[in-house]
Amino acid sequence: MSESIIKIKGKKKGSFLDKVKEILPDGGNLNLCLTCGACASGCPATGLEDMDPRKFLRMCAMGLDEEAIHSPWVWMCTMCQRCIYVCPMKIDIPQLVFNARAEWPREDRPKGIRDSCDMALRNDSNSAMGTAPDDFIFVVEDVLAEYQESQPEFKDMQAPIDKPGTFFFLNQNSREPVTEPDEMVPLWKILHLAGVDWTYGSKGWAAENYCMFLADNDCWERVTRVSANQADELGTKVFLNTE
Amino acid sequence: MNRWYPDALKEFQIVTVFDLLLQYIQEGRIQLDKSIHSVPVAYHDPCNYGRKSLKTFGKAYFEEGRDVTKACCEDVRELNPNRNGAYCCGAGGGAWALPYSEERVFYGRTKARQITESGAKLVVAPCHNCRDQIMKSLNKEYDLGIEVKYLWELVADSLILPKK
Ligand code: SF4
Ligand code: SF4
Repeated sequence: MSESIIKIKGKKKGSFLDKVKEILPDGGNLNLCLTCGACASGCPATGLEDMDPRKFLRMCAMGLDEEAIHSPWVWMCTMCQRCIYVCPMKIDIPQLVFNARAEWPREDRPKGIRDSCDMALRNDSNSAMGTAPDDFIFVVEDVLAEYQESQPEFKDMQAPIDKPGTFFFLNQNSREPVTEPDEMVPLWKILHLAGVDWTYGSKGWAAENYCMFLADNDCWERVTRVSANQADELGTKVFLNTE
Repeated sequence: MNRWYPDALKEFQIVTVFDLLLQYIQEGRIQLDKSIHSVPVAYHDPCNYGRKSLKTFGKAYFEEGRDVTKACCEDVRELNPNRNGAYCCGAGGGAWALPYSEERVFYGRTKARQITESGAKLVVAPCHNCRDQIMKSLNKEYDLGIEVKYLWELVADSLILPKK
C-alpha cells in the first residue's frame, strides 16, 4: 500500500527507514508495525507537535521522511523506550528518533543541547556546563572544608581527587558542583561511614553526556574515552557510575 | 559505555550506586533510622536505570532502588504502572538542554498525576534529570506539594552515626 502512495506522490525517497533498518539488529522490526496504536496511547509525548510514535513511524514508512525527520517532535520524545515494551512487535521507535536527530545538520540542531556537547569537549572535565578541572577541584575542597568544620561528626570525611590506587573511581553530574554543591555531600557521607577508599578524577569527572542526546557519535565517544583513561591512569579498580 | 570499551571493561569493573548502597545496607556497614522519613514515600523508576539499562546492559535496576528505599522508610508506595512500564518523568533524552520547556512540562503530566494518586509526600528519584524535573518543574506546575530526594540523599539523611 505504501508503495502506491509513494508513486502517486512521485516522491521516491523512502531511504531513511531503510538506512535505519540496516543499522539496527533485526532491522529494529521497523516494518512489522500493526498500526495498533499501543505505542501512541502510552506515550506522554503524544500530541506534541501534532505527532505521536505511531504516526512518526507511519510517516517514515510512507516516504514522508523529510516531514517526519524535521519535526521538532524528535527532540521532544525523551527516548524513554516505553513504547518498545508496550509494542506487540517490540518496534524500536526511539532508535528511529535518535537517527532522525542525527539527520539534522549539526548547526540546525537545538542550540542548548549542541552547546552542552560542545562545552564538554572544551576541556577535560567532560562537563556540559564547561566547568574546568581547576574549578571542580576548588568547589570540592571548599565544600568539604565547610562540612568538616560545621559537622564535627564528619571532621575526618574525605573527598579526594586524583588519588592513585583507590578502589573506586567516582563520577559526578556537573549540575551539583556548579549549582547545588551541597548535593555532593550525601554520597561522601555514606562512603565515609562505610569506610570506602575512593577518588574523583580531575579529568573526566563529569557524568552527564549530552553528545549522546545530540546524536553526535564521534563526540560521544571522545567524551567517554577521557573518563575511562583517567580512571585507568589512576589505577582505580572499579568505576562507580552515579549517572 | 560497553559499546566503545570492550577492553576497558575487562580491566575494571563498573559498579552502580545501587549495587553499592544495597551491599552496604545488607552487610550492615551503614545503619539507617526509619523514623526520620515517616511520611508516605513513592519510588520513581528512571528510564535510564530501568528500561534503558535492560536494553543496553541486559540488567534493569528495578528492585535495588526499592529495596534501598524500603530500608530507609516504612511507608513506600508505587507509582503504577511501574518498573518496565513506568512513565518517563519527561526530562529524558537531553530535555534539560532543549528549548522546549513547555512541552517538557506537558509531557510530565502523567507522572504528576501518578504522584498525586499515590498520596506520597516524598518522592525518591535516583536520576538527576528526574529529580530536577519532579522537584523543580512538576512540583510547581502541578501543585504537588512534595519533597524530592535522590536515593543517596535519602540514605545519607537516614544514617545513624556510630557512637564513638
Ligand atoms: S521513547 Fe519516545 S515515542 Fe517512545 S514512549 Fe518514550 S517518548 Fe514516546
Ligand atoms: S505499538 Fe508497535 S505495532 Fe502498534 S502502532 Fe506502535 S509501533 Fe506499530
